[in-house]
Amino acid sequence: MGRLLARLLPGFSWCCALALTAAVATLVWFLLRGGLPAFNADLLFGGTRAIDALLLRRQVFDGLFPALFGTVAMVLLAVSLAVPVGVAAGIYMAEYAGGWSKHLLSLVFDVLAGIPSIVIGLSGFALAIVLHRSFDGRLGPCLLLSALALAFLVLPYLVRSTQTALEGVDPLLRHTALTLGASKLQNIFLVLLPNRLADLTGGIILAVGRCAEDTAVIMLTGVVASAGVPDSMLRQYEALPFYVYYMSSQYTGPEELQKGYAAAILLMIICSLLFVLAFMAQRRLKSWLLYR
Amino acid sequence: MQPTTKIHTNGLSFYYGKMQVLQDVSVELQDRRITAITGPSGSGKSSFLSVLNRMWTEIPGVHLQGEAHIRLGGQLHDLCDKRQPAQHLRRKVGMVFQTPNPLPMSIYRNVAFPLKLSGCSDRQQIAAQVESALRRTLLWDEVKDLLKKDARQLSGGQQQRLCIARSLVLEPEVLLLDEPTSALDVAASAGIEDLLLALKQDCTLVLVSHYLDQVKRLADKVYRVDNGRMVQL
Repeated sequence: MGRLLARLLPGFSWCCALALTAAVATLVWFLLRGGLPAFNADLLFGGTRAIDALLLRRQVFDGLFPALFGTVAMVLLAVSLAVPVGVAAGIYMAEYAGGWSKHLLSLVFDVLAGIPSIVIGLSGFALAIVLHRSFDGRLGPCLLLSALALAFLVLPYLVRSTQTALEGVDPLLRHTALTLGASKLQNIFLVLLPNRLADLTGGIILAVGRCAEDTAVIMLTGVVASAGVPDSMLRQYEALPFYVYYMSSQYTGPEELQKGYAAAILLMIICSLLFVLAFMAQRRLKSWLLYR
Repeated sequence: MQPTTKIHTNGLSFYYGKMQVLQDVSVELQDRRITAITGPSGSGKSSFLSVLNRMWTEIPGVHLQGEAHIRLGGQLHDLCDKRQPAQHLRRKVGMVFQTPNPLPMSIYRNVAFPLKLSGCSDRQQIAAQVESALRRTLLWDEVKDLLKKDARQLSGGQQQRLCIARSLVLEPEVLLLDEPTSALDVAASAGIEDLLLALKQDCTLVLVSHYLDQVKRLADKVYRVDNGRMVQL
């Protein structure tokens, strides 16, 4: 029985890996089939000249550029809000918390990770209403609010990935710098974190992906179907996932549907670019920190 | 405590949680001598070393009883007081482990690392001290063209000499060695032993070793740990 299982397991695992790869390939093929015909010069900028749009001299109304801009701005803003807090909380969990406080905080972060995004969206919406009332309608759903809510959504990933990264450091390495006279802070920032940059980047990549795809949070906190490129963080904005969602339910003809597919492809391209960027930044930073 | 005494303990007991690891240890270690500590595995030799550089404070659940003092720069330091900062002490009490433990960074940065930790930012001074430490451990000629290479690419014996150089770069008064040759081959061990004898000129060495012949070759004074008690041989 045991021998049979040992024989079957590799085959089964291989099939599972193949099934996953096939699923991804099918998905990409499906998107490309639906969206590729819409990839032309007008897709991003519509009737507006590209240079005018890129320099924000003229708004684009029939292209995906504002949604693309909105998504990138939102992801960068949300991740840059979440990373310092998440990494710091992860450092606290791994290096300072102990006993009951660690158990309690672990529970809190697990609960946070389990909150459905629509609930976080609703909380953001409630906050928007409060702001709207307190500031005479000058504040309300906007890019900044979306980014804050999304940062909240991805915090648990960052806390956990930082914590497991630090806790996974080999005990000998952990004690090496201390025996050389390093303070606890020096040990964390000069040895432990630099050696675990890859794991940290993994957490950040997860966070980027989660921010880029989320629709529930942003549709309650500031995204709209048509806003152009926002001129401040306190304005409403467009985003690719919302555009995809909007087109899938409201399209009026095959051309709009194709643009919806194209937006989904664009979203994937952006995510991949951000992943590559994060990975390259990690490599550079590591060699700069450790091998100069 | 006599002026030639570097380290002195009186009735020292070491507890790991409720387990007693060292019992009523009273020893005197002389300045610029090699003191060897032998004994079976798990008898508390490494625990004793962890008292001397205050690494015991980093291990959860450890507490001490009794007295332990070390004389650094002419001043006595209490090793049992958990509240005293350990960083300054550890810069003067170096430690070399059984397995060579180069940090995962370049050779140069490994040796320069303790200087950076202590706040030294003068590049020329750092470069000079790195070179002198690597020369003292007879490693300079082997690595001078590889300084930017990952230290983990060196051989075991070279790595161990690198770790000793890294400890020496701060010019410590005491060097703790926890079975420094047990992961090395005969030739590399002989190299390390010669190095230790040379270091005796300016450093107090505390050597934990399993090898009795090594202890005979090197030590001025030998203690044996058995069931948590330390007796002089």
